[in-house]
Amino acid sequence: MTASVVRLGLFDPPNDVFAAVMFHYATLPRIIVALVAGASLGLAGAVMQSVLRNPLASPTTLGVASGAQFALALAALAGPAAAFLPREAWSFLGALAAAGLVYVVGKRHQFDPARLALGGMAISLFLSAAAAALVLFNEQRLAFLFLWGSGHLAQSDWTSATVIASILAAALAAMLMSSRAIGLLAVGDQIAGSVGLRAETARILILLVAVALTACVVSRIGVVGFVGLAIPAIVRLCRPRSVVATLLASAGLGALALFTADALAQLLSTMSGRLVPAGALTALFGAPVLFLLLARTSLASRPNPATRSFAGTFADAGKSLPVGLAAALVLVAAAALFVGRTGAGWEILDPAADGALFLARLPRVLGALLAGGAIALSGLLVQKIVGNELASPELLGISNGAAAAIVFAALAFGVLSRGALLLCGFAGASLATLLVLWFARRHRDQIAAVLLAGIALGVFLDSIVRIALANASMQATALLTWMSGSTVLVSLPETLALGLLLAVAVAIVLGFCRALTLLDLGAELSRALGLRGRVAQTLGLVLAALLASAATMVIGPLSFVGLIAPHLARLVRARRLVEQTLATVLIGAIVMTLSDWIGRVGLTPWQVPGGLVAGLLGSLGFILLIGRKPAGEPGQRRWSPRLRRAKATGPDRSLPHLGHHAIRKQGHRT
Amino acid sequence: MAFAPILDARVPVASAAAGAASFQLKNAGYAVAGTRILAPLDLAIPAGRFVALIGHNGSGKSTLLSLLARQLVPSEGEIAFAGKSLVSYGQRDFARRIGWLPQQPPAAANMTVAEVAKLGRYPWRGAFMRHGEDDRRAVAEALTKVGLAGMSERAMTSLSGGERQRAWLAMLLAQQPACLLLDEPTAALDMKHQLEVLKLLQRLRGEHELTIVMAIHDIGMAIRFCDHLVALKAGRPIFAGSPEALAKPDVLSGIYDLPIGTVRPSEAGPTVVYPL
Repeated sequence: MTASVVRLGLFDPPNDVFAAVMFHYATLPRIIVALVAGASLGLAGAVMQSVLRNPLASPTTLGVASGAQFALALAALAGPAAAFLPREAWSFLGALAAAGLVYVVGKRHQFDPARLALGGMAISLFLSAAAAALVLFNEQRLAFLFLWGSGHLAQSDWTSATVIASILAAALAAMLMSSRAIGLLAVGDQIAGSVGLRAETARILILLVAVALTACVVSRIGVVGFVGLAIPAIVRLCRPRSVVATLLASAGLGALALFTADALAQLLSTMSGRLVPAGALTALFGAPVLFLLLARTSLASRPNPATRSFAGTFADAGKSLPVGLAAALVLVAAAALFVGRTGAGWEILDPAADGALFLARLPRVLGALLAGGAIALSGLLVQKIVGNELASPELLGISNGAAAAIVFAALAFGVLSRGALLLCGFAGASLATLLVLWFARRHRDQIAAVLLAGIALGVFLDSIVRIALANASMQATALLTWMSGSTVLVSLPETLALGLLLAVAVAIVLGFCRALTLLDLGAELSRALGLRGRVAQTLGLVLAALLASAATMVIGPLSFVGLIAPHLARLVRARRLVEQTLATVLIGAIVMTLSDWIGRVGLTPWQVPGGLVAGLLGSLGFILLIGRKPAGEPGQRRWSPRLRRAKATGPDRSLPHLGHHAIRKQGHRT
Repeated sequence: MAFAPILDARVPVASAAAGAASFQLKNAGYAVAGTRILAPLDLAIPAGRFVALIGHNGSGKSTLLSLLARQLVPSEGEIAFAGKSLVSYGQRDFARRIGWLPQQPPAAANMTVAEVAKLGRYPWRGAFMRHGEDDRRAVAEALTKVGLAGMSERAMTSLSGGERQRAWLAMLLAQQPACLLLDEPTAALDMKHQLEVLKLLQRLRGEHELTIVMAIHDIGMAIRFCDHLVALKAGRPIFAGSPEALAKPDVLSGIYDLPIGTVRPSEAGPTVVYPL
C-alpha cells in the first residue's frame, strides 16, 4: 500500500487502478466499519451499565445481540416473505423482544445485577440453542450464520459504514443530550425520583437507543462479543469524572479495540491462510483483559445476606422424594428405551424381536441418563463450593474448558481414543476450575465478579473453539455433532465407566455431607468450626471437574442441566444436603434422558442432539424460574393455597437474593 | 454433665482469678500491602473474663479479633492461647477451644435453628463420626440456655434479629469452647435485643467459666456488662483495665478524640456516657 494508492482511492478512485479501487471499496469501508461498530458497542454497553447500575450489563450478556441475530436468521429463512421490512428492522425487533423480556425479568427483581445478567444469559443461551437447531435443519441456507455470527468485517461497499455511522451519530447525540438523566439513573432510582426524574420512563427510553444501536451493528456485522462488556468495565476502572467522559471514552476505546482486533484478524488470516473473524478475536483478547482487571480490583458491590421473613418451619419432602423421582426416572428411561417413532408412526420396541436395535439404543439412553446425573451433581458441587446458587459448570466456563481441550486434542493429534479425549477434557476442565477457584477465593463476597470472570473464561474458550472449528475441514463435522450434544457416539463400556464414576461421586458427596453443609456457610465460619476449607474446596472441585468433563464427553458443553437440576431439586423442596444430592442427580438424569428421547422422536426422521434439546428445555425452564417473583412480594401470595403453605415453609428458595433491593420490601421483623 | 469433656482443656478458674492470660500477644501486628492495620503489640487477655474491645471505626478491633480467631495470620509476631502458639493447634482442635462469630453471620437461609446449633458439634465429631447421646444433649442444652428450645424446628429466616443472634450463640455453646470471640454481636439489634443478648452472654460466662472477647461500639453497654476493657486507637492499644477505670471523662475523651462526659444517675444504676 503506497501513499499514491491512498491518495487516489480516498475519494473517487479511477477505475483503471485496481489497488485504488480495492482501497476505496474494501479496505477503507472495513476500517470505518470497525471503528464505528466498535464505538457503537462500547457506547451501548456503557449506557446499559450506567442506567441499570449493573457492571454485568452489555449487549451480549443481556441477550440483546442474540435476539437480533435470531430474528435475522428467521428473516433469512423466511426469504421473500420477510422482505417487506429491511433487515435492520428485523434485527431491531428481535433485539427489542429479547431486551423487553430481560427487562421484565429484571424489573421483578429490582434490577438485581446478577439476576438481570443471568436472565440475559439464559435468553441468549436459549436463542443460540434455537439458532443451532435452525442451522442443523437448514444447513444450506444458514451455513453463513456460523461464520457471520462471529463478527466478520469484510466489506465490499460503503453501505454498512454509512448505516452504522449515521445511527451511531444519532445515538451519540441523544445520549450526550441526556447525560444528566443517565448520571442520575446511575446514582439510584430514589435519588433520581426525588429530584424529579421519571426514572422508569427515562431508563426505558435510554435503553431503547442502546438496543437500536446494538441491533444495527448486529444486522451489519454479526455478534461481536465482549466489546460492549469489557470496554466500559475498563473505562470505569480509570474512574472517569463524568457521564459524558464515560460515554465518550467507552465509544473511543471500543472503536480502537475493534479496529485493533480486526487488523489482527486480517493479519492472522493472511499468515495462516485461514479465515479468522474479528469477533472471535475480541473475545480472545477482551476476556483475559477483563479477567485480569477484575482480579486486580474490587467491585464495590458486596451482596447482603438474604434476610427473608416468614413465620414457620420447613415442610421437607422427606424420603418419599428420592423414591418418587427414581420411579419417574425408571418410567422415562423405559419410554426412551422402548418407544420409538418411524415415518409411519409410534412403535413399541420388542427387545426379544429386535435385539440389535435395543442394543443400539441401550448405550445411548444410559449415556444420556448418567451424563445428566453427572453434570447435575457437578453443578450442585460447584454451587456449594463457590457459595452461590447461580454458579454452574456451564456458566463458570468449566464445561467450556473440557470442550476446548477435547477439540484441540482432536484437531492436533487426529483420531484419539475416547479415553484419551476424556483425559484431555478432564485436564481442560480442571484448569478452568482452578482459575475460577482462584478467582472466587479472591472475591469471596463478590459473586458478580466471579460470575463475570466465569463468563469471560467461557466466552474466551468458546471463541478459541470457534476459530479452530471454522478452519477445520472434515473433522469439524464430527466435532460439531458432538459439541451440540449428540449421544450417538457413546459405547456401552463407556457408559459403564461413567456409571461407576457417578456412583463413586455420589457416595463421596453423601459421605462428606457434613463438611459440604459447613462450606455453605462461607469459608470463615466453616474454618472457625474446624473445617479445613481449602482441602474440602479443592477436593470438591476436582470431583466437580471430573464429573463435568466426563458428562461433557457425552452431552456436549452446553446442556444447562448442571445449572437447572439443583434449582429444580430445591423447587421440589429437597432441603437437606442428602436429599438435595439424590434429588439433583435423579432430576438431572430425568431431564437428560427425556431430552435425548425427545430429540430422537420429536422430529422424525431428523434426530436432534439430546444436549441441544436439554439446552433448549433447560434455558427455557430457567428463564421461567428467574422470572418468578421474589419471595415476600404481594404477587406470590395470590398464586394458590399450596403456595401459601409454601410461604410458611420457606417461599421460593429456588434462587438466592443477591441484592439488597429485594430485602427492602419485606416485612422484616427485627 | 454434658460439658465435662472439655473442662480439662480450659484454663483453671483459680489461675483466672490470679490474672492468668488466655490469649497472649507477643509483638503481634498485622499489615496489608505495606499498610499497618494493627501495630505490633504485646497484650494479655485475662482468662475467665468478659472482655470488651472498644475504639473508633477502623481502630483495629475486628482485625484483632480475626487474629485471635486465626481468621487472619499475623504478619509479624506471635499469638498464643493457653500457653501454646496458635499455629500449633490443629483445625478442629482449635475449634474445640475457641468459638468465633463474624459480625454478619451467614443467612443460613435453608436451615433450621436446631441444624445451626448442631453445626457446633463438627469440631468434636468431624465429617464421619456418628453423633451420639452426648452430642444430642449438648445441642439440646445449648438451645435451652439461649431460650430457643421451643423454636428448634423454626427456619432461621423466620427469626427476629435477636433470636437469630441467639441461634448462632447456641451453635457456639454446642461447640463447648473455652473462649468466645464475638465481633459486634449487638450491632444489628435494637436496644431491647442488645440487652437480651448481653445479659445472656454475661450469664453464660458465669455458668461455663468462659472467656468472652467481644468488639462493641456502645461504651455504656461495655461498661455495664464487661469486667475488662481494652481500647484501641489507630491500631494501638491505649487502655486496658476495669470499667471503673475507663468510665472517666478524660480517659474516654482520649480514646475517641472527643470531649466526653459521664454521669451515674443513681448508685445502683448504670453509668451513662455522652459526647459533650
